[in-house]
Amino acid sequence: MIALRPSLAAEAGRHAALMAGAIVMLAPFVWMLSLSLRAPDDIFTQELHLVPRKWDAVRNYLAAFEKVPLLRYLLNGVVVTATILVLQIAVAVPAAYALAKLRFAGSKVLFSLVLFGLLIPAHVPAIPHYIMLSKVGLLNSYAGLVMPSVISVFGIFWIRQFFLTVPDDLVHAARLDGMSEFGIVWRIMLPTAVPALTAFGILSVVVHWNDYFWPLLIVTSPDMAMPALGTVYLRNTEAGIDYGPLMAGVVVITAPLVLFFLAAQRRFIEGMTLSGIK
Amino acid sequence: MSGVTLRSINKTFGATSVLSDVSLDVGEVEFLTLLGPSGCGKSTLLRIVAGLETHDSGEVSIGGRPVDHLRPRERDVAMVFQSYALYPHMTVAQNIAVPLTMRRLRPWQRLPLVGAVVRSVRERRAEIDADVRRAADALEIEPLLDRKPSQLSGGQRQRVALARAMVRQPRAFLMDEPLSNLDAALRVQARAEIADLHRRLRTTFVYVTHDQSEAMTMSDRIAVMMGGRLLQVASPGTIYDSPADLRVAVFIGSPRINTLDGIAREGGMVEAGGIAFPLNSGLLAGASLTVAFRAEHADIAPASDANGEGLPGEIRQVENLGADVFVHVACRGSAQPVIVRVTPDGGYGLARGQPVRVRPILARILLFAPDGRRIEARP
Amino acid sequence: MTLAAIAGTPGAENIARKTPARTEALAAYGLVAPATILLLGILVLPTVATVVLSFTDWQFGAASLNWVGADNYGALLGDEVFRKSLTNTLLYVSMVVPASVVLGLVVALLIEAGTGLRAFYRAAFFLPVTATLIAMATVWEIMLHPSIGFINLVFDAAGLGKHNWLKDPALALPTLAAIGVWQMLGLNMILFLAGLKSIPRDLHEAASIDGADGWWSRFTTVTWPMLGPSTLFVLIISSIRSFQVFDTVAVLTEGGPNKATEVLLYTMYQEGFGFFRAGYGAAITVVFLTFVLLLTLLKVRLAERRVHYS
Repeated sequence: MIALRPSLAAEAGRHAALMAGAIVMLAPFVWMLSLSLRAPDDIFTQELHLVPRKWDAVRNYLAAFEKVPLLRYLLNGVVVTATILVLQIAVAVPAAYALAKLRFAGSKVLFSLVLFGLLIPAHVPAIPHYIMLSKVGLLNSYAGLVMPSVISVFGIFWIRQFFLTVPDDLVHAARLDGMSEFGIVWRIMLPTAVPALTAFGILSVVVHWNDYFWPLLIVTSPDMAMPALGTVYLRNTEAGIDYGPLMAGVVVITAPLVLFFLAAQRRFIEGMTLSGIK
Repeated sequence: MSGVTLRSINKTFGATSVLSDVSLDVGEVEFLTLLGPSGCGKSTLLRIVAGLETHDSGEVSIGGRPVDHLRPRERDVAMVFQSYALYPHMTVAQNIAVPLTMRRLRPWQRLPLVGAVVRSVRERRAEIDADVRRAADALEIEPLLDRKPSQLSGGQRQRVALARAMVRQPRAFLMDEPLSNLDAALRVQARAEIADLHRRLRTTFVYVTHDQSEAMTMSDRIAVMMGGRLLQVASPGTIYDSPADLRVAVFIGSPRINTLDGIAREGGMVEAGGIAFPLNSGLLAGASLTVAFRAEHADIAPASDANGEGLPGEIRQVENLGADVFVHVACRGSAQPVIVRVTPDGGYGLARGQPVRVRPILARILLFAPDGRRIEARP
Repeated sequence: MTLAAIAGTPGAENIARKTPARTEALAAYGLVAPATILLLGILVLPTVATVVLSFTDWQFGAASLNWVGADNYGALLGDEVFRKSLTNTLLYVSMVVPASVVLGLVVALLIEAGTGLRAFYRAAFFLPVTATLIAMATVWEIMLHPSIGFINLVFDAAGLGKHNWLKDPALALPTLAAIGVWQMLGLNMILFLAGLKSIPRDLHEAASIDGADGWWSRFTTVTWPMLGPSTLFVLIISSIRSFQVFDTVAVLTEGGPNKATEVLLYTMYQEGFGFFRAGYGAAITVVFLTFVLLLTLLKVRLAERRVHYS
């Protein structure tokens, strides 16, 4: 919308509405932080206050790390999401380039297959995946956590849409300059696609860091848990209602992605708007 | 030995024919322009020479060597694109270096850090750097070497594209409307620079444009294309003064050439616009044809002239461009007003609505058959 | 010219001519090969296998399996839990999709309507998308705690009384839906923002010169029609995602109270991996997939009538 010098009242109304919404959206984060800093009897209170009256932050955070191997979960999260992202990009970028810029028999079929794949939720092939992995003994392993996500049809689709906006002449120039198709993919297309890849990367990391369903199915030992599953393990250690350490653990699990997003926010928005959804 | 040779090139996209039976010889040091309206197939033809498009039949050779089976990079041609097609993530220097690194370094040698370790690679990189500087120096873009394309103006980008093309001394330069993204003033300057570049490099240039002034000012020869066919290949002067086809005559020249519907008469006469011209068309009496002449090949006489020769008409508009005055005269036999160029002095006193006579110079009248082919008039 | 030369020339020319196109195709096959193999091996074949499995009585670990035809589907029809689960899922989707799409659009429009604090609002509304839902569900659980929960404290202060949000059968599913909206709204907002950015400024200016100078008339003449493709995309994405509701159910309610929050994926998980009835679980998965596909096709169909361009 263009804002042709909005009236003061309109601007005030806009801020009032958005601020109210933002408060609701952020309330759980603020409450989580607040509780993670409090002593048990300050949590168990009927009074509403945000700033802790009795601080017990150190005990809460130490307890969280003692109860379950939180660092291990974070490490698992980093290893698995990073592996998934690298493989997804390695598989999707060449395919997206071929679908966007090269002529070959079967490209239409392949693209319809990609579109169809977009509609299949990740849970649908879960039972056969489980059977396959148990046959080869890869349940409860990094390989098993990574396997179903190696291919991202969304990634192929997304990057292809972006490549369509890259002028053909750039590819032509690269061919005349002596590059092979393989070279064009990695030396020209990949660098130009950085904004689109950033947006895709953030979405991919968010999805897999936060995934609960698949780890729940195949992880059997506590040290292989991904962050989301780890939260549940931590939750299960809780006998009473000592929410302090639990909230501290939740802060630790959530913080990396939230901070990462806040840092990459601008690039993410740029990448999302650049690719355009059509 | 010739620069670029095309033999009976045909190309169709689906059911539409884009190029039909195009044959062309471009000399080794010739600047040839493919000129035509958009969609005439000129860009497709250029891309076929580069190997970026495939042709359905025919033969392309570059430097006397058939290249139909060769990939673009094996053809040893360089191309400047309309959009310049600079790699957005590389600096100017890296952009210009790409054709050299791709040719002079093996894949493993291009890896980062290899240059720091392997001496031969380091030496070759230094050579490449020197060549890049030489090309940048020739085009006066040395101060820009460390910038990214997004930080350059249109004119600077165009120079970088030229530098990337000339850096490896290709056998032929292909240029696809390289000036169309520049503003008018810059375009005139760039025209002179490209012509100058051609004189210095003394190699084959094939230049595609829809702009006749570019074609007229830079080329050794112009190949006029329309509807996927070559209509005429000749020097700019010949194309202008002696077009082989009515469509060429109409496309070249501004203002547009004047055309009148005419009929061949007995005794070596042609009748058009209500008067008879002593022109022997060689056609049977009664055959229809087109009589054409350019604005500068006629003058204006008062309607009351006692001699009474020339096409009678009425002035519709007087366009004063300073150095020239174009007088638009509505005449019989011509759907559009006939345009006559007069000097500012000659235009003095001419006004809208005035009845006049238009007197074409007989020797400069061109005759065209109904199919557009030129008919040599024998006086 | 000899006969052989006449016969030979066109052939030779043919091979020579086709080579660049063939090289391009060969390169393309090389580039798409890994993706194609993985697409078939990881997505397509296992999906087909799920469908096949749904016609058997196979159980995890069983040595043999029998073809039982449509028996699993027949059993589903008679299964009280499954019927409840299907209705709950549809109910959940019908609450979350409209709310998160409309709110996402409203927030996007409000953010774009002014210049102040844009980055802050964008980040605030998008933050729940990036946060681990399982972890945040735990926070919500504490906030919804019947006696000490933040929400009940607010409700109580406002004189609306305290509620047992997750244990009350009438409130449990709407509560989960509210958490779903909270989590999904930000993604919809970002997608709408992307759509708004792609509307050329000239169009708004042209519309205001043409007389559509009020906020509402500009919205109806330009913004909303131009958002057509984005809206369709947002609708499809949010219904597919809300169909997959699982995390909050598994952590907060475990389908209860009294199956009030039993949803398809949770039923599938319990049947397949809790009771090891793989065939039966596969049948639920197939029903789940069918609904997702039907819903998407329906929306695309409806949208095709209204979205004329793109």
